[in-house]
Amino acid sequence: MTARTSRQKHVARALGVAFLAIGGGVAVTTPAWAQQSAIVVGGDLTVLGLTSVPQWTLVGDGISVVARGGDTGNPGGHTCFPCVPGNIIEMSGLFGGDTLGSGSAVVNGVL
Amino acid sequence: MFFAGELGFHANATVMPDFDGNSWRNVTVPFNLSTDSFLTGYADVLQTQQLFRIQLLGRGTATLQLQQTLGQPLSTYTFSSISYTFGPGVNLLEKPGFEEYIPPALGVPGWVSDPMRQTPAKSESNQPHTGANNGACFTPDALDCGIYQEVTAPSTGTYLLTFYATADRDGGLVGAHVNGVQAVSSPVAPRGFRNYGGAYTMTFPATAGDTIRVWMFSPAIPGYVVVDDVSLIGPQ
Repeated sequence: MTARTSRQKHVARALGVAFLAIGGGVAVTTPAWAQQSAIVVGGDLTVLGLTSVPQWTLVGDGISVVARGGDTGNPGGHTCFPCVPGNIIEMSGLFGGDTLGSGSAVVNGVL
Repeated sequence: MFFAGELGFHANATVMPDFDGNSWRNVTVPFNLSTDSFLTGYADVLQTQQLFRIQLLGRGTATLQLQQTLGQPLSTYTFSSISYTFGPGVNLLEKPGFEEYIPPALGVPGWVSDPMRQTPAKSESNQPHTGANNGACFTPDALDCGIYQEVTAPSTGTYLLTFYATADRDGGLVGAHVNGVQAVSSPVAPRGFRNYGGAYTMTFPATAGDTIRVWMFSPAIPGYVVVDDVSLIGPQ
C-alpha cells in the first residue's frame, strides 16, 4: 500500500512536470507558429533622407507591427542624388537583418 | 520586441521626368513584396528567444519624393524620401469616381459614352457611391446605353477589376474586353436607388500592350444603371 502510494505519487509528479512542460511549450509556441503567413493590407515603410533608418508599420491578417529600423537598408530612389531628367532610377528596396530594428507587434492577438 | 527578416519591395525602375518648375516632385510606381519576404520577432535583443516567424505577402505603391533645384548651368533632382505604402495597388483608370467631371460631361482622358448605343451615357450627381458624382445610363424609353474607358496594359499578368453598380431593372452588365474580345462580365443586380451594396469584382489575364476596355452596359429597357468607384489594378 505504501509502495503503491509512493509509486502513484512519483507518477503523478512526473505527469505534472510533463503537463507543465507541455503547457509551457504551448504558451510559448502558439503565438509563434499558429500563423505561417500574412497578407499585408496596410501600413508603410518610410526612409527620410539618405542616412535615416526606416520607420515602418505593417497591418495584415492577424498581425500588426510598429517598428523603427536599426540601419538605413537599401531604399529605392536613393541613387538620385543628384540626378537629372532621363536618368533611370531603381525603385526597389531591400531591408533585412539588423535593418528591421525594434518596436511592438501583435500576432494572433498576442503581444 | 526585436525584429529580423527581410522585406523586399519589388518595383520597376522609373525614368526621371522633366522638371516642372516646382520645388518638389513625387514619382509613384507600384510594388509587390518579394516572395521571400518574412518577419521574425524575438523577445530579446540578442535574438535567442524567437516568438514568431511569418512570411509576408503584399503590394502597394512606392512614392519617391524629390527636391528639384532649378539652376544654371545645371538643374537637378535630389532624393528626399521614399515611402512604400501597402494597399490595393495603382488604379489604372482615369477619373474612376467621376469626380472630375461637371455633370453631365464625360470624355477622355477617362470615360466615353459608347457611340454604338442608342442613347448617351453621362456623369451625374444623382446616385454617388462615394464623393459627389457617379456614371449613369438612364432612359425612359427602350434604348440601350453604354460607357467605357480604355487603357493599355502596362504589364503581363492578372488584372483585378472592381465596379460599384446598381440598377432598377435586370439586364445591366459590367465587364472588360481585352483587344476587342470579352474577358469578363457580371450582371448588375437591380438593387435600387443608390443601393450599391458590395462591389462586383472580376479578374482576367492580359499581356503588356493589350488594350483593355472597361465597360458598363444598360439594356434597351426603360430605367437606369449607375456605376461609381471603378478600379482596374494590374500586376506588378
